Amino acid sequence: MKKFMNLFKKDIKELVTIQLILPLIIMIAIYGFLGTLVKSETKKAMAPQNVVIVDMDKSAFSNSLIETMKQGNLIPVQSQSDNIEISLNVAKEKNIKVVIVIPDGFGQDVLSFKQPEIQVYSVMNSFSIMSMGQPSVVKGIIQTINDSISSQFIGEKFTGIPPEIVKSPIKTKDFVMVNGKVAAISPDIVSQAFASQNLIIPIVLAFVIIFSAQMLASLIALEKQNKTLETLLTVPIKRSLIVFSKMLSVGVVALIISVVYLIAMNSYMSGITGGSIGFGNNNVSAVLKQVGMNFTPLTYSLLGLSIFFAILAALSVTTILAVYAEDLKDVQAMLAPLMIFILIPYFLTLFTDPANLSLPLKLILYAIPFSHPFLATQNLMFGRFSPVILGIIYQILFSFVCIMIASKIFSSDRILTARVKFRKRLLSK
Amino acid sequence: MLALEVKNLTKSYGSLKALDGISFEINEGEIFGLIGPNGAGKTTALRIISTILSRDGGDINIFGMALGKDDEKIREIISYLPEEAGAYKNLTGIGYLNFMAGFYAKSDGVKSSFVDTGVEIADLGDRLKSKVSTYSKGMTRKILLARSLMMMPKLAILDEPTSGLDVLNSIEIRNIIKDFVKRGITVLLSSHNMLEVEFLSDRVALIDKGKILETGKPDELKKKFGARNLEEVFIGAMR
Repeated sequence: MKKFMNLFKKDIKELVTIQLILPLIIMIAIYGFLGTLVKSETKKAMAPQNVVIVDMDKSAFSNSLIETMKQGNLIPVQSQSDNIEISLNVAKEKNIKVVIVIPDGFGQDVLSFKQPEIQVYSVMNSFSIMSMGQPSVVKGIIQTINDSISSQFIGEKFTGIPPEIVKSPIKTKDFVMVNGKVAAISPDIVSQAFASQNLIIPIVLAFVIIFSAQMLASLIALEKQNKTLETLLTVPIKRSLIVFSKMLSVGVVALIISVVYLIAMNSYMSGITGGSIGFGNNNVSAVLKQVGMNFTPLTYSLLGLSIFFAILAALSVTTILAVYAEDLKDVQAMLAPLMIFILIPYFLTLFTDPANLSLPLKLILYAIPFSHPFLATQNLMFGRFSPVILGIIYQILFSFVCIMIASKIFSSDRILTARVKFRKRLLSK
Repeated sequence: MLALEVKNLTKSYGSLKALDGISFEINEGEIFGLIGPNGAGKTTALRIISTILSRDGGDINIFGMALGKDDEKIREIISYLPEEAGAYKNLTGIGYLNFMAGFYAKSDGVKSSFVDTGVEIADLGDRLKSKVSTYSKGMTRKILLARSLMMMPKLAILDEPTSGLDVLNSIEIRNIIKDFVKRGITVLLSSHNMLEVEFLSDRVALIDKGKILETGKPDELKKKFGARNLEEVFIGAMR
């Protein structure tokens, strides 16, 4: 144990270098900055916005329309001129994005059902998401006004009947049944809540698996490149412990980095979506809880095990591949096949429903040990525990076989001669 | 007691026969030199004895322990200095000695005495506190030699110990090796520098194309071939 800890501490020291920490700090700072920036921009966009009003009608009806705008988060700025061009210039000078022109006779035309036009000018000087949202806010207000006017008309014709009932004589009430539990909630809300809660998991998972595989391959390649491997193989420690120390040190460092990455990503995503995506969102959790789709200690444990064994499987395959890497330059080439097998389940589970895949694709997906944590979230939330448990058993067996092969390679000549043979084979072709 | 006994050792890489049935013995407290040109099979022999390469045939016993059966015990009493060895660049010189001593010492006291010996051999002063990545070739080789000898291995296997070093560094390293043998260790070294081996070794084996051509004391071999030095002995043995 003492010898193992001696090696483990050295491997950690090899991994935790300024080259690892600096990009990590930069990444956290960038994600944090972007999240805060987008959050403040969203806040600005949500704040009451100025709109220039050119009221050519100046009737009681147009006044009431302007009052309605005030209630709808807009600050009407009355134009001093009825000239549209002058008003547009005023908007440009004052950096106001929308100009609304209420035509002469507007109130009269509404009352005589002539469907008058309100002209909406959008002053565009960028294509950012925030600036693009402005005209739709105005259109939403117009829609509200339309509803209000039509309700007024209906109220006059059908006295004693609420206008809403005349507009929608039939109403629906949504129920959703999940895992035998019924809740009065719309399926759209449930699926949106599920998607928002679980968007981050695959991104972080793919990142962690790829990152840890690269770290391990680099650690082994570095032993070869620095010519320290030969010496290490002659010290009195079991070869399997050399392999295990490298895998464990990478596992620990990858775990810490992934937690940091998760926090940074979560802050970024919740910044972008105004808090609707990400962990710790109470509204989303409450929606999922209503239909029994919330995480329990058991589901968390199973998901954790599935992720842990996916990482272990990736590391064990990496150890075998890294034997063929002579130095750090070779690492990327050696890991390319592994990357493909990590990205296949990532994209398949992101863009398709695994249950509807063809049989060969399904078999490929289940045969890849890294697929299982991607599939586990959905299965666990729908109470399908068997595929998750079977997946974990498969991952354990896969990792065990690969670790045995890796230990065997470390105990054989291959660890020193594999690359030579590999190069010779390439040359002979 | 025999420190090392090699009987009919063979090893091939595909169709290339690296070792073709070599045999030799080393007595305890001896410096034994394996000399031959590049590609003669010296490094392969040393790697097999150091437990990092497998053999196709033959038997090896190190202080009575059979290679292939007692490898883990053998690793506790040997140390190997590869020709192209390096040290961990993120560690300081002293950190590297501490790390390596950690595999051999049974207690913290023993570990610190190993490191003290290592510091004495390396003789790098304050530079031991610097990272290995800042060391010159000579300094790196000294720290590696210190690592190989500090725990007083029963058998030190040194592959080209002065490889790539200037005259002064080479002399210093040769003196360190001689000094440690006086303290009780046994050394198997390989070199293509026959003059160096002649200076260091009690006995030598001449190896070429995986075969041992001659074994004996340098003076006896010189007498046998009427040669002035081992280089001439080697040329004579090849004929």
